Amino acid sequence: MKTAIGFLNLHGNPSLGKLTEGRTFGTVTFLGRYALMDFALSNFCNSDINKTEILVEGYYDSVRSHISNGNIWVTNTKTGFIRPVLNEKELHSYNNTDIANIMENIPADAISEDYVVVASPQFLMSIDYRDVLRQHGDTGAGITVVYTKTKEKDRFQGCDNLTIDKDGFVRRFNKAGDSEDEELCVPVESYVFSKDVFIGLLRFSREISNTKTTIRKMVELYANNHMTSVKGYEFKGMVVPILSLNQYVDESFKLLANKNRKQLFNPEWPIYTTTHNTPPTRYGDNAVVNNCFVANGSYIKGTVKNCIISRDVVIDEGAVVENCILFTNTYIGQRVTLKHTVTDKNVVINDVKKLSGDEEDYLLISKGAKI
Amino acid sequence: MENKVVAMILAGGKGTRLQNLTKKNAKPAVSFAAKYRIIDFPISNCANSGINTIGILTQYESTFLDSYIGNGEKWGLNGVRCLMSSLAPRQTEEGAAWYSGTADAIAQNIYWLDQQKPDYVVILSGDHIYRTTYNEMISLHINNKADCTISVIEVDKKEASRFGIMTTDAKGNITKFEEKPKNPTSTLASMGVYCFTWSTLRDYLVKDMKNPNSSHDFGNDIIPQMLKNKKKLMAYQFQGYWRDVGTLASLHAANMDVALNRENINLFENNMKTRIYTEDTYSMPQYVGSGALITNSVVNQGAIVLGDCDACVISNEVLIEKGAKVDHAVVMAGAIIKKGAVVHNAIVGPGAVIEEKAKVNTDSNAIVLVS
Repeated sequence: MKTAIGFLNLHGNPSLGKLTEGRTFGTVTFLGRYALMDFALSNFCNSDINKTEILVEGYYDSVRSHISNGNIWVTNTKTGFIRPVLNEKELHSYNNTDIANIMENIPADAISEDYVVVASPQFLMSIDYRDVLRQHGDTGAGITVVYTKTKEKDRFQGCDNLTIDKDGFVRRFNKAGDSEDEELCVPVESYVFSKDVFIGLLRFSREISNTKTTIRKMVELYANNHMTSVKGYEFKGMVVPILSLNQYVDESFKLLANKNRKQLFNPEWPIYTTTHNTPPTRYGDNAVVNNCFVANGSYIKGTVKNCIISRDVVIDEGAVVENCILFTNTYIGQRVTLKHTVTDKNVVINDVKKLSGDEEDYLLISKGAKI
Repeated sequence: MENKVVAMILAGGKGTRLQNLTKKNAKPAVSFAAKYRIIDFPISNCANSGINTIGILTQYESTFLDSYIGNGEKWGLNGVRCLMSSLAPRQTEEGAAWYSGTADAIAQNIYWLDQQKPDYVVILSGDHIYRTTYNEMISLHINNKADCTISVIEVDKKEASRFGIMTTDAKGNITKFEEKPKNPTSTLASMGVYCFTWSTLRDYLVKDMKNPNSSHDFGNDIIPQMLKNKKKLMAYQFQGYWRDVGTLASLHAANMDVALNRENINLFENNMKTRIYTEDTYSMPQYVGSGALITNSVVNQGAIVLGDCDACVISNEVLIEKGAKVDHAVVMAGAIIKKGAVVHNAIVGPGAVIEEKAKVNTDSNAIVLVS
């Protein structure tokens, strides 16, 4: 049986403004329960990939504390592992790339698996890599690039568009924005490499002495110059791109709709996350809750509509909260009205009785703020 | 550590009065408060008391309970110097026999207990709902050089004949103990929580095993015998919420205490800095729909509520469809209450389905079980 090792790539992930000021993108709360990177880690685990290296760009502690001992995403805890690695030497330099991190922390001969699977947290999906690996093996590809077909150009701004020939070879990486195609083939920053190709790619990246180069750029170089057999794998399930703060907000709210939720989440494909031992959520005597995700440990006494409520949030009597995303341990005081706002962790809103952003421009309240 | 305390949790009862809830499931494994199983309470109490060696006496339908207990990881009891053992009746050198009473269950495990080298043994029941630490009781026991300390709680006079009832002197020494007296002379009820000095208990167990007239029960045999022999028995007055949930009505009532946040319930609030731990489910966050109305309820992760719920306890993966009206109900994991159904004063068992427009117990105040 062929084996694979996973690389979760936390380098070069998008910025979500203040939400990524004190933590890495992958650990930003999503739907009140998950961290963004839970999806990629769960995809590895559900696909029988039992060893995962997490390439951490910075804010190591946020990764460390989220993954705990890592056993949540590992089947056999002796033969498998989840290991976050950080390139301390290049931490604050432009050379702090995914490739530099691997070169620093993971000796090439330490990779004993047949394949390397790379995933990034900014494209949320429930993908079975066993199928990607099957195609990769069957076609004899050196590199397989996972992509999604889409007509929604607005959702994939700044992404690439692949030129794929009739035999499934990736011929070119193009900028999606330049494309006049009605339908794009957007790569989702996830690749399968045969081990030798991967090790060769790492070595070659050093030979061309471009220390700033990345896995993505190298794949593009290999495809554009036909340096190995680069195939495309079309992932037909739903892909939720989180490429900016606005998109984080929009895509979160879209998942409140059952038809979208059903496409991302599959009961047979659980998304694992860390437990916090919080009790179930309590709804008070006068609670009014409509169209919301609510995590455990919260206490809702007021009115909450179209919201995403994380763990240990308290919404007090008479408070009205609409179209908001509240992170862990937010307190909304009595008779406070809050609309179109994202609150980071440990925010208290009590003294100001009305706060509101608008649909186009959400108000973002920083971690720990007392208002 | 100066004194080693080992806890033994009695979890072998059949729980016949819980009807179908214990048909294929031991009573301690029955669901409680939307997220927990009953046995989570005594085990978490041990964990929060720093008791790291626990034996669980299982017998009826022990397989699931044994798997649930596992290596104790759910309660953090898998660390260094921790031991969590499921002790089901088994064939030994001396032969093979079921546990014939509470004291017999411990007596059959004298060898296991000796190996743990305890100074004190705390005997607990696997089917009581309360949150505490046992440290005060153990200190009281040690400081008074008692042979046995029994945790007691004040009960109503009319309830007293359901319990083991104690009379104490001014210093808290137990002077009289009556198991389920017809005409109780005191309202101090035994909670079935005992702290014994191991060397004393060991002697009594060995003698009791040889007594053909004994029912091998702590309340009927061991405690009365100790009193008769003028051993030092102390009462420890427990303060707080404590419930025996041995019947459908008491299980329902205790769940309602949680849903309605009745005054003295202190199972989950953070003020005690201790939590009740349990198994985590790989559920989505709970979703409350646009037309839903939830009041006075607790809801666990993974539930989808689209109908009306008042005074409900709703477990993970429960679906309450649009137009369903549910009140004073305990809805266990994976149950479905379909469109237009009306449910009142009920326990809906795990995975049960209530069909469209069905009426469950709408004109009765007795508690019914749907399973």
